Amino acid sequence: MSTPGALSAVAEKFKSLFESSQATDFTIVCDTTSWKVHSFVLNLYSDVLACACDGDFKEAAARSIDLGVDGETSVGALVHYMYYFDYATDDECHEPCTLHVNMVLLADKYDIPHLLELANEKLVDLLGNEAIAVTADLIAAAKLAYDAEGPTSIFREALVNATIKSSTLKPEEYDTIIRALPALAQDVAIAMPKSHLKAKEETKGLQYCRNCGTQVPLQNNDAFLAALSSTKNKEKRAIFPEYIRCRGCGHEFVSGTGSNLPTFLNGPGGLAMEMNRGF
Amino acid sequence: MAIHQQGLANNDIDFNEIWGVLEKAFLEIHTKNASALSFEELYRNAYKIVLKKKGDELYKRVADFEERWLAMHVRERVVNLLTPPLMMLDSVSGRSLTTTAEKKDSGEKFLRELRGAWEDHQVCMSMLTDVLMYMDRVYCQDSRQPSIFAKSMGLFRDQILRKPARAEMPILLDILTRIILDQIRMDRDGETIQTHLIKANISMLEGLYDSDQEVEDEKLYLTAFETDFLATSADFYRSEGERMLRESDAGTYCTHAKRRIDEEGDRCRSTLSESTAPKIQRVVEDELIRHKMKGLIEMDSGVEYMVDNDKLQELGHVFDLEARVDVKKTELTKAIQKIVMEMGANITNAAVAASATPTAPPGATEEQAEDKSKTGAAKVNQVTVAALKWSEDILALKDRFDNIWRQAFQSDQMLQIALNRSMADAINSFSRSSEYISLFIDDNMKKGIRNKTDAEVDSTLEKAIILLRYLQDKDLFETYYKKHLCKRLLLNKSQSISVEKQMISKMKIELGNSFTLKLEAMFKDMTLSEELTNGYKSYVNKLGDADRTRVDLGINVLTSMTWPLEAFRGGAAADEDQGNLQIIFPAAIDRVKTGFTRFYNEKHSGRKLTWQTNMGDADIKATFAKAGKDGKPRTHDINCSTYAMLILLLFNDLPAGASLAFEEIQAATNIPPSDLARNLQSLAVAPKTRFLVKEPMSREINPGDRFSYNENFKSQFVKIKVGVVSAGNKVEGDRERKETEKKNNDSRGYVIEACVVRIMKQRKILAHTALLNETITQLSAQFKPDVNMIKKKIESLIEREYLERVEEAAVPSYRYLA
Repeated sequence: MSTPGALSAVAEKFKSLFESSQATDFTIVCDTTSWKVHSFVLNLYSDVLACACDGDFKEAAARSIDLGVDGETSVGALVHYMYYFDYATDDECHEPCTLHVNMVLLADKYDIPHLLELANEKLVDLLGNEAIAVTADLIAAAKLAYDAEGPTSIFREALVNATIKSSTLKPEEYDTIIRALPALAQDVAIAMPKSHLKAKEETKGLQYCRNCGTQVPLQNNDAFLAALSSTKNKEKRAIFPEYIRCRGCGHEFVSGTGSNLPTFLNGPGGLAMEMNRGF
Repeated sequence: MAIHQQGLANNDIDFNEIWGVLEKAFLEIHTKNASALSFEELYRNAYKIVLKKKGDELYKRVADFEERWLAMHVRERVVNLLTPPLMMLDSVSGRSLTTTAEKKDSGEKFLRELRGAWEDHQVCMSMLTDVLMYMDRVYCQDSRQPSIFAKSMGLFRDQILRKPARAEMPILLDILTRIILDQIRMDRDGETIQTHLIKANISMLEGLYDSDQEVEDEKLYLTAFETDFLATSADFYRSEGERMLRESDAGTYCTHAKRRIDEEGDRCRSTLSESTAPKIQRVVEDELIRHKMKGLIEMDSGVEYMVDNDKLQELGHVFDLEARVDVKKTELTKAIQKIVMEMGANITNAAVAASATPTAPPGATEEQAEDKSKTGAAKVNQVTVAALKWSEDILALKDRFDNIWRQAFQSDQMLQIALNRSMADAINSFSRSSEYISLFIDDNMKKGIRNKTDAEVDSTLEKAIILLRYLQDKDLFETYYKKHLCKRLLLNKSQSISVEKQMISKMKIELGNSFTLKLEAMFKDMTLSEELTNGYKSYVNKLGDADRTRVDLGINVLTSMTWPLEAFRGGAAADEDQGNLQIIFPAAIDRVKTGFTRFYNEKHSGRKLTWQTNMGDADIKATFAKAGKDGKPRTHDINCSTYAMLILLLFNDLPAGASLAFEEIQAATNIPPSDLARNLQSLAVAPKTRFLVKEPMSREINPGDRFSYNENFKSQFVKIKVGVVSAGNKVEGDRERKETEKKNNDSRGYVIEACVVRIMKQRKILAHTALLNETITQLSAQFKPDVNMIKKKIESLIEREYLERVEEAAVPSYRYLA
């Protein structure tokens, strides 16, 4: 049983221990900067860093590790993450994409799964659901990601999708990024036909479930409509003429747009909608 | 703010250069020189290789490195310690060349070295694992390779344990197993060994697997060591067990076996693996107990000896041992049952012998015995004593085994059942047990409970109940008990009526209400009779007839079916019509008799009183002219039977010096001749109560003998009791017993018939076997019915058309005819 508030109290304590450098027993050095940290906290997050603290190597005796190769900014963000459970993405950060990709790489290198998730989330949010705006930062980040391959797959996939979208919406931007990143160009070329096929089928009345990928026919789902409260029935039919209910998983969405049903449809009828974190 | 670019931009890394760094570091680690190495640097290098998809190459290089290291550096060190004393073991003839101490010493050195090699390997590999963590996580998982640690353990197994130590030698693993087994053998023989060395090597075998798949059931410990260990141990204990059975006694054997089992358990904990404990204990149990139990129990110093000499502790050991291997304790149970049966048979034989020893020829009838009054009485007494001894001995036997059961057999339920069964068998195999048990109670009621506290009395009664509990023929017992009880009550022989009632209530609890119904009726009769006597007394007083000479009357009115009055007829039972004989009473007595009859009929009309004169007794005052010290007349209080009183009264009216012939007395009183003879014997032959003089003077009473008043009778006692020959309770004669048995069988016949009819009335149609079974079950509380008797009774019921055979039935069946 956990006492409510215990968790947040511990979280507060993490911050204060870090800020006061109290009870620290280990140092992370990076070029000119160093951070006094707790080996216990390193143990909490990373088995790799734990080995540095407790293994039979030089670092354990010196009570210090040099992470210079990982770069001061990234290591700073890593340390911040370990004590504040997040890393800063303040306005001063001019190269947020690069930072996030670097965090993805660090999280992979030191085996910190939650940080990996967080950094990927931040990247996907940054790309958004629209056509991309190509910046130097984005290109640098993309280069990093393509160099590292394995760990950055989520970001790269999102980048490919965004690039394909911008091919019709922002042709110049598309041109820039394709030329800047040959590896991305290859990926886009491979993904493009699939993307077209999908769009075509959707116009033909075939849809893919956003949730499980099953192909479903485009049609009104009467059973679903009947379940809606009768007073609002007509109104909704007018606004969303084409609901789709997946045969595979029961997921419901609106034809064409692929977006979920708006939340106001989650009436007292009990049709709880699963909210997909989409593109 | 500037973002540092990681140094990964160039796609091509120099694998060989990086591997060079790593290999150098690994060497340092293996030579225990790792403290100057930077974890960060090594980890980063391994990370880089894997990130650049060269994980498989790295993995192979590491494995190669380890394989080389083990083959070139480690194996050498271990093999060097296989010194001659160890290798001599190979050839059978070599054994004698080495002393145990040498063997032990070199064995220990080898084990120590191997342990060292294993521990080093593990330490190094865990450091390598730390450095190669990224490879394990990314490469090994993606390509489904065992972790580098597991891989290197497999390498240790293959390079060290599975390689022949030297050319033409067995693999090291076999040598290791043999050395460990040797050390264990030394431990069993009492040498002190370095258990931690073995334990360390065993942990190594437990940490290794037969294949790289690391299947839990295929640990090297299980596949390479444990089977061998169990097999050698079985051999060892088999021969040890055989030797022990030959050379030592059962007690030592048990202690030793128990110690061995505990030892093996301890050995598994301290030296081998916990998981082996149950298996090896099972082996020891098999070899030392399961296969040897029978031999152990049957040893000269086996269970029988232990029981004979009350070796409770050793019996306890035997029990513990067998309880380990057999919940039913089959062998011990068998042995104990046999001993109980033997001891029971001995007791019975002793009783039979004791009752048959006296001079009277075996098979002498009661009548003959009584003719020779003294020897006969002695014989009767002896039989009674034998009966008492039998009961006491059986009880002692039970106590003894109860004690053994409690102290040595941990009150085990299986053994309790077995003991009870064999006790019951021992008791029931003796045909006279019902009678003996009743006699035992009888004796205690008359003498045994005198001057005893309530608790003691209670325990005596409880003993009787214990015997009763085992008894099968409870109906036969009832017959005897009724007979004995009847005599006790009527002759006032019982020490305490309340104890009698206690006994009855105990029987009621044990055997049920129906069993004691008739016995209780007897007590009721006694109480009613007392009330009647008192009522009659006050009735007489009220009549105002204050006749001082009037004879007082105490009376027992007995319900005719309840009381086994034939018990009193004794040897004269032949006179079937005796009850019809009208005894001639003198006027004084007759008046009382008719007076009571009138009184009784007033109270209860329609009841018929039959006077059992042969059972009464009388107190009379008799004055003898020369009985006093100086020849003065003296008055004695004489207690004698009613018949004796009638006889004595005859002499009251006789002039001095006159005599009466046997026939005259008979005519005057109408007493049955056999009873008369007996009473005359008491009055004219027995020295202390010779009130009459017999002519001719001889022991036997014969027709034609003449009797006269003994003027010269002298006695220093005021009160004189005339013994009645047949008053005492004694064991039945053979003829009597046959009669009792016959009677019992007859009554069993009725009970069986009633039972069969009851069952058939309920079931209407029933198969023959089912009917038999049901009858036996229902009657088992009373007695064990004879199957032939049941069959006969069924036949007879068919004849009388209570039942008929069902013709068309598949199995023989009967139908009830309403």
